[in-house]
Amino acid sequence: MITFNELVKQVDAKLAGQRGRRDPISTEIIEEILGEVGIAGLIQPTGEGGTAKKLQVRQLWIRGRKWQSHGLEPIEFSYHRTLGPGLNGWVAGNGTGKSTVLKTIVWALTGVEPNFKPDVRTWLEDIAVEIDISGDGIYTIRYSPRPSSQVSGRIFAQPLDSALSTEEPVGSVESFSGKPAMTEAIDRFFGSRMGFSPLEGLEWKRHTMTLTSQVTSWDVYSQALFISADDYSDYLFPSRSTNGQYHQKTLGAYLDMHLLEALSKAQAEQLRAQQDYEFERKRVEVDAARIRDEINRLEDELRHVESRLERIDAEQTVLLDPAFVHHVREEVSQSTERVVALTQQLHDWETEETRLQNDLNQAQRACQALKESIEFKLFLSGLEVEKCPHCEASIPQTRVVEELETGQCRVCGSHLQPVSSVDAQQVLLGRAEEKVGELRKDLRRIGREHKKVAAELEQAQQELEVHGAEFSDLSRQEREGFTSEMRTLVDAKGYLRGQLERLREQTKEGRGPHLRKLKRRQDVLRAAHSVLQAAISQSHRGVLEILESRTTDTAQTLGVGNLERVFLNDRFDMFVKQSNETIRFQTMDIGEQLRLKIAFHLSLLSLRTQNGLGRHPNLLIIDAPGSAELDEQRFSAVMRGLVDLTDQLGDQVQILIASTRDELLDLCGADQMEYKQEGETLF
Amino acid sequence: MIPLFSMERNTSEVGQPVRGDNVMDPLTRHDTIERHAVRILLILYFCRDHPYTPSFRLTDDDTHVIETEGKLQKIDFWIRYPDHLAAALLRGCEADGQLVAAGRMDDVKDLVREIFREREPVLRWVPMLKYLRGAYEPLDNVMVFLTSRNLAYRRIVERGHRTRYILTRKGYDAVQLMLQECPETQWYADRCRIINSYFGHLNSFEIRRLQYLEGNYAATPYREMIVPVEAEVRRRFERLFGESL
Repeated sequence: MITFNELVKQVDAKLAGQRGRRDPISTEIIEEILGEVGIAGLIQPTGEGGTAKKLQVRQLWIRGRKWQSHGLEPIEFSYHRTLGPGLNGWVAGNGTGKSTVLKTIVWALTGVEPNFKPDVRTWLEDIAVEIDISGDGIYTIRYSPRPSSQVSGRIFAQPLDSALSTEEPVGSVESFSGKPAMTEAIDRFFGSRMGFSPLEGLEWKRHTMTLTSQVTSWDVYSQALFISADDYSDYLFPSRSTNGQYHQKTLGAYLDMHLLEALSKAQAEQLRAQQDYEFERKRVEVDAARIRDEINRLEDELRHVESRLERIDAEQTVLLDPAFVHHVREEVSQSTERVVALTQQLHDWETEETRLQNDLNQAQRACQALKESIEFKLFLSGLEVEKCPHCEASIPQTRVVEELETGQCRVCGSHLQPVSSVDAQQVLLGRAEEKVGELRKDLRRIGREHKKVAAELEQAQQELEVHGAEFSDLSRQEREGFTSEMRTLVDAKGYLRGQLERLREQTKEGRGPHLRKLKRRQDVLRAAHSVLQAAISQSHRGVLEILESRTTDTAQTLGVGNLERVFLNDRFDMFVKQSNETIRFQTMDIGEQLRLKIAFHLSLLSLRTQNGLGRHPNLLIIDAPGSAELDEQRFSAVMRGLVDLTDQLGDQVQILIASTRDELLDLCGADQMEYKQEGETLF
Repeated sequence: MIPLFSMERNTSEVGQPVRGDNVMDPLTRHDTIERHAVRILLILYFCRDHPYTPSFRLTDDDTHVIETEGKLQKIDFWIRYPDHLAAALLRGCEADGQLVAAGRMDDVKDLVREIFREREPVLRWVPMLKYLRGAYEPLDNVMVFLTSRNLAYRRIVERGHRTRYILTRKGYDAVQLMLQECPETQWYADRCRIINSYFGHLNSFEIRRLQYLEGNYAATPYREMIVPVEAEVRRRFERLFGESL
């Protein structure tokens, strides 16, 4: 395993080996940069990541209504299935609901909504998935995807039956409302229980120069448990939308690799350093011409001011200007008065604003109280009085017409009061809401005034400062006989010098050291990222080789022709050597992609169960594999591969598979299979 | 069926809590007994105790119980003063707080942020007085209302020591229906769940002790309104998390 000192040495060697490098970087600087971003702390081994857990789906329950056209009443349905370890299958025709069933499970396990058919999505009302996390317990994820674009639900530390009970459910460990909340809740729940830590990082926002923070956690990792129908263009995930950027992190998490955090940090810091350098470089380049012109202009102006001052100095006579002194004193006095007046005005506005805010708070609180009162009153008025509140004896239910006739209370015989209606409260609510509107308007107006006065005060204070400074300088000016022109010229000279100094700092030459520093930082972090990437790949070479070799063997069994070798590069992109040619996974034929993808997932599963390597949850969900891409013979080979694996691994794994092909029936036990004949649907 | 006549005269007067000489908030005139009754029902429904007296068993007509009036009152106080609830949660996140050990600091941070973002200390505040043992409000009128409708009732167990509050089967069904039909109950239901989740394991004395830790609460004179602690919570939040509310 790589240490911090080795990392520094390797980065140093990598940078030294870069051809044409004009700016050598010392090891001290490398150490300083890597230490500053916190990579040193992440390289130290942090101990084991906890025991690897197994995840199994035990039961699925779906309730909903099929909406029909032509104004017909919807048809209610409910679906339930118990699932066991090993291979569990669904065999049914197209459009019978197989994919929907699997997707409801995937949604519960990943927290990310899969792509349902739009009409089917509206049928689903209540879904519950019971799962078993080995060594932790049985849980039920119950969620309701209603209204159509939303979802809400809870996770219970209870079996499905209890979670569905009509009693107010207890034992809820997470609850969520909304899609992002569900993703977060599922992420938290599985991440902590299955021992999959989130990795923080940065990525470029598409088509922009901005970096956004991004966390890779269970919602990404868990996608690799699902092989969807029809898209096999990524060997690990159900689709290519992730563009391969999460391969290393996800496989790293499944294979329990260390250094991932350090790698993630190095990647993020490298991107940040790149952004800083590029931004600064472009800024300097863009500004260079403008700054040069500006400097030339200011230098001309300064020369002109200095020559005029020299001429005045040559012919200077002592000159007292009492009118000017009086004028400055007047200005100081007026400015002071104005500041005092504006401060008082500001205080008044603030008081008024506070008063209005209090009134608004009260009015809003009144609205809330009235809304509740009206609603609760309407609800409770439907409940009849059944008992005497004092002795608690039951009160005979006198008929209302009789009460109306007598007009007397059935308890004490007194004259009855009319039931208090909510009309009065409705009127009050209307008034309170009106008042809220008015107060908000007033507050906005006061806010504008407040802002205006604050700006005026700031300006007045600046003026006072200027006049004060001028006043305190008067005695010197009187003594030396400054003329008003000289005063203006001296001020201009000081101003021009200040401007020139500032502009010279902004030139390419002035910004050079800063730019070089940013470039060094970018180079060091880029090299560190590359060294860490290689270090991960090398230190886990043994595991990766077993995975590659097993994938190769399984893919050959599943009929990938002329296959010599399957391998992963440092970024964990997949390549194959076929007929003496190296081919990228993405460019393979779709039928071969499917077989290789299944072979890879089966090898990943067996790596944990047979070699005790990694922390794969031992669950795989496969939706309608290759209805178009596989002929009968190849489909049977894939199925046999699955059956062989489940035979070897026994109860250690769970595979859920749906298919339209009857061949699956011969390979799967009857109790593990749900079969629908033509014309039948799952729900 | 909606009855045409009712036993109550003017519910807004009945619902008006006893205030003493300090009429604290002119807006409490909008309170109705129904608002108080619903809050008490929801507390009974969500924050029930598990009866610990071997001799006491709920009858088939009853479903939930809260063993002491003190506990009911203290939970009611936290619902009526969201800023005091936030203060108690933040106290649990301080150096030796139990919520730190339980790893719930982030949850508390989000929760307190949410309370202040929704301006709950202003909009959901329902003033309450301090009596001899902390926040208290006579519940006689509310219980008359609930008992007459067979929704809940109370029993004095040890005179002067403990009053048990019981939710009936009918009250239980009414709450379930109310949760479906009255959107305004959702906030109360969520608040009860939160209180139960963080403080459900505490008894009346422990909750009271926790509430008394707030200086302003402890210093409030007898029969005076308990003042909000919004500013103090903002300061404490910033000290704990380095962010402002």
